[in-house]
Amino acid sequence: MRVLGTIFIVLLFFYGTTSTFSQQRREDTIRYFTTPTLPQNVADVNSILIDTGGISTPKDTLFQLLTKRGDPISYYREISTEVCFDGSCRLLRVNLYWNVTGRYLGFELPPAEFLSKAEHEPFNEQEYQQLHTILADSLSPIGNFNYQNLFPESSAAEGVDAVTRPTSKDVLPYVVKGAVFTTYKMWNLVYGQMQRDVEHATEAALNPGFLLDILNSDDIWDRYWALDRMRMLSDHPLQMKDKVVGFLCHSSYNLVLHTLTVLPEEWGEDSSFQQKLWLAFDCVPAALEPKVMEKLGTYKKLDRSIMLDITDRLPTMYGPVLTAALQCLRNYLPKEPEILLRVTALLKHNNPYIVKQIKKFLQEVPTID
Amino acid sequence: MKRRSAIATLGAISLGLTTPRLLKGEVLQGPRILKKEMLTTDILVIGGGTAGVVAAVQAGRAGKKIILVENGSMLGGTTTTGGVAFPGIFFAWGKQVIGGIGWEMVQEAVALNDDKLPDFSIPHGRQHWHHQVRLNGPLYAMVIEDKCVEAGVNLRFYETPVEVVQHKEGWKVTTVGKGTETEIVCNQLIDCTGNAFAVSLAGFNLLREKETQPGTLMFRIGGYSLDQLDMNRIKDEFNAAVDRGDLIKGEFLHVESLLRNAGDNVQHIAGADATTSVSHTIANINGRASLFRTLKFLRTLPGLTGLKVLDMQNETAVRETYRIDSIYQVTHEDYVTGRIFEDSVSYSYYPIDLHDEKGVVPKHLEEGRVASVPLRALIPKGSRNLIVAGRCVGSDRLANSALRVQASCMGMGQAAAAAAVLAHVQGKTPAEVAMSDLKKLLTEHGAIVPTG
Repeated sequence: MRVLGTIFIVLLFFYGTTSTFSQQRREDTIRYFTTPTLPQNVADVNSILIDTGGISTPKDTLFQLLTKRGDPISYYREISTEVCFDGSCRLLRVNLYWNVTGRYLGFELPPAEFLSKAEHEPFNEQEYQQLHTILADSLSPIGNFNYQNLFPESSAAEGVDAVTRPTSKDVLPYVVKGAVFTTYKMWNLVYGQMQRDVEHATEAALNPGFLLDILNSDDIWDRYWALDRMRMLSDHPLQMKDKVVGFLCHSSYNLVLHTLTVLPEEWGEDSSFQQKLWLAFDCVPAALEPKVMEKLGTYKKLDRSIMLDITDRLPTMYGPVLTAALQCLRNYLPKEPEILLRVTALLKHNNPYIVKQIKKFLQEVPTID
Repeated sequence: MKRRSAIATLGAISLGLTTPRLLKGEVLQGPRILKKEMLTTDILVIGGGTAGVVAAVQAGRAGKKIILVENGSMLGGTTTTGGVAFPGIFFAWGKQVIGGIGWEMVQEAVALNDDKLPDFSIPHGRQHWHHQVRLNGPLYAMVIEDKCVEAGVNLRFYETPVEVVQHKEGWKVTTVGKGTETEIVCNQLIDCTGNAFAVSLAGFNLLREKETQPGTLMFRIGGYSLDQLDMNRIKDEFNAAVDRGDLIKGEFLHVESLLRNAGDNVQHIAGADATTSVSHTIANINGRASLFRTLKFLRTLPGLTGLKVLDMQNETAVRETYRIDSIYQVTHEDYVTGRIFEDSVSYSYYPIDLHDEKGVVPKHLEEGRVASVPLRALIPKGSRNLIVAGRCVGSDRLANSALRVQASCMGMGQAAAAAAVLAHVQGKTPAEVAMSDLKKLLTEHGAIVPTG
């Protein structure tokens, strides 16, 4: 009955909004949400029984919100747990939400419920916002603290979170003041086992269209997540390939590097894909140009027009780009006299360092006399 | 006849007396004679540290004959010998600002150690160290040496310059090393000593603060469990020892930080100066004595009786010594406003990071700001065919506290070498090289040249 009631509230909320979540309070419900990975057009809710690892309640339900097509769009769990320290406990009741990629989506308190700090003083608007910001930071240093070092060694035991007990100054910047245990507990719930449960549930539901939707997210975490899971699918439609190759021209060095690293080898069997990758050579950061060459070099058969393009550009290449370009051409030289001739012509380059590199390279190509 | 024969016999006897009997496998080595030689090269780099290695590789790859003189036993300077194996910041506000040869070497060392780069697209906020790349120091030393050898750099370890004089259209630099005295004649000289030592020997003035930033001996300690420590008691005991004079005030500002960081970059050695053998010897002795003193004291405290030194670098790393009196001095204002000059050759991105007796409170740049280094700041005023790269860049003290960081030095190293290469090819001095040519050469070699 409680589950049904909650579903009703959630559905009401999701239908009542567009794809944009915001920090809004509806009458007696307190809720804070980030931008979701996917538009939250909820058509159905699926209950997944999960193992909590707890003793009193070993099993609990993870609610999976679904589109009309049956793809997951987000998850939530109704948390009812005690925040305890030094023998005192108080109940924390909150619904935590995750995106399909396991990224924190938001939190919502049950109707009439509120969070409190020391002396049971309720959170104010600013403190809810601060909590929300901390929960959205997957790299928060709070993840490096353990329960015991949240307070200085010498402070006397005085009770729960709660509390007037002073917070360790190392921890203070990463928690809501006066609510250190609530912050700590909620952050660890968001990034603990439940996050992995969410990811597993999404992985089980992956299909090409769904993965493409995640790749289209503006959030970099979501993109990494989807890129890392392309290997789980055997079918990669053209739209997905184009989206992924498009990342190579992104301003984020890490995204470009990650994309180059996870590009499936079989995509290179298609010469039109090779052409797209070669075009990206001119928009990746200079430091990653050798990586594009190296990728092209892994393909069983490189498109001849690309080989000729690379050869044309050899005289202007230096250092690791030149090394990678030569390696890329290496296997084709014995059967490509035109390319071989052009590489050999570099022995007359006015830079003796290049000449040395070319000489060494030609000696290492075994089938050339 | 008898007399002659007697003298000949005496000679034979005397030879027999001075020649030791050789055991099987032994050979006789006569007294060593200092090996003197003269070498000629297009470009000479003095100092194989952070900037010098990049400069040498750039010059080598541009096809120049290049000699690199290093007074230690391996390349890398502060990054390797000094143990500060987190070479600063290469990315600012989501974009790469220092690339080229320095980044290539860092990236290669990261890959070979299966390390993961930080995500540079996530802003570092006030924790700029989130964007630091941690390197395996010994591995990095091998990577950069390999790059130098591959670029045809003639490496000369254990040598230091003792004389720098003008010679025709360039310089004659005399170096001494183990059993060697070498005259190296070059057209272009690049000073990457970090202390502007070669510039000074060449007769140019240098600048220095009355009080320079402290140095740091890098080490690693262990043998204790942090969560078992009574930190307040340790702090009290430590502070009392400082008050009594048993420990030196300022060497370790916070004992908690020393223990939490297990010794990583927490020590301050006042006046540490690597310029001469004498000054560097003092810095090394002071660094080690500080650690030794503190180690013995800490081992008397509860929970720390098993404290051990797990590792220690061979020398005290130095932050600040001399700066050149350059054509243009980069100011603090230039740095924090992210000024781009017409002759900017590389970027620099780091908080203003002045260490003093109170520690350090980094002052972060405002969002979107990235400082740059003009070519003129690398050239000693009134010089020809002479350029520097690294922390001795012409700058005021506050700007220098950010410019000195390794990533910036790598950018400067590549730019200085590119200018020297063009000057050599065009028969000019680095200050006369056209910026368009310099930008083209740098870009071809993967460097990022500021645009504004």
